[in-house]
Amino acid sequence: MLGAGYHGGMADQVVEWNLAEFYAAVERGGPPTGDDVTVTRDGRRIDTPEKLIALVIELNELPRPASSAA
Amino acid sequence: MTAGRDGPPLDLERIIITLQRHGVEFLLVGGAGAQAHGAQRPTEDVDCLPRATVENYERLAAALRELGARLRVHGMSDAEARQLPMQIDATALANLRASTWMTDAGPLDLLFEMADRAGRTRGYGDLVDRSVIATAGELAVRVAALADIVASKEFADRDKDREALPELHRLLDRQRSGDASPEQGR
Repeated sequence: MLGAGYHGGMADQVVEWNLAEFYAAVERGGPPTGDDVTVTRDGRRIDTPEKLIALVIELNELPRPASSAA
Repeated sequence: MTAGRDGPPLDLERIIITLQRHGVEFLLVGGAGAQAHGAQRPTEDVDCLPRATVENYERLAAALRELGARLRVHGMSDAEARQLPMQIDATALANLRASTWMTDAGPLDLLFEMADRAGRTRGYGDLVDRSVIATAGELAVRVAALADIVASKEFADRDKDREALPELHRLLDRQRSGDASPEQGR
């Protein structure tokens, strides 16, 4: 279930998780807040739609390896 | 542009299963991770900390594409975010320290590092040895140690972190005293 490449080694501690209680506690949030921002590797906080649009353009224009999948 | 989180509701299992099917190495952290340890404080989204390697970025990008992921931000509706033609691949993900997404299975936050109490950043490789496996029926997911989740919230010190910490400290004390029983009411 944990997929290939997962940490092996010593026996893992296992905890049981009641997902029904998780979903009962999930809040349907309001709009993203100042805490919910994308941050670039160089530390820029993308906290407005204008910055996000500019970031997407910037990321799309980065050079890709020839085999990169879109 | 209109504000509002108007995307699909959170489907935690779909997100986890999709990430795992693509072989993404990640830890569950944040509020959902705390819930796996027994916390009851509500959460709004799922926070994942993937391993930051090119191979894992590629697997993660494939999973995000399958989930129809779009970056989200305050002031932009989900319909508007869907219209942004973003190329989601390893190159893009490698340029993001943290990212906030809406997916067809609800909100998903990705962070490639997490601070300890002193503010030192730690990645997947630093945290995985202390992580635990949370199981729910057929689902099994690796979750960062509660102590590491607590430390990151202590360093972040936001209002929502300060509100969450008393319960997390109680849970941590229980874990350290060897009482693995869940919080009252669970």
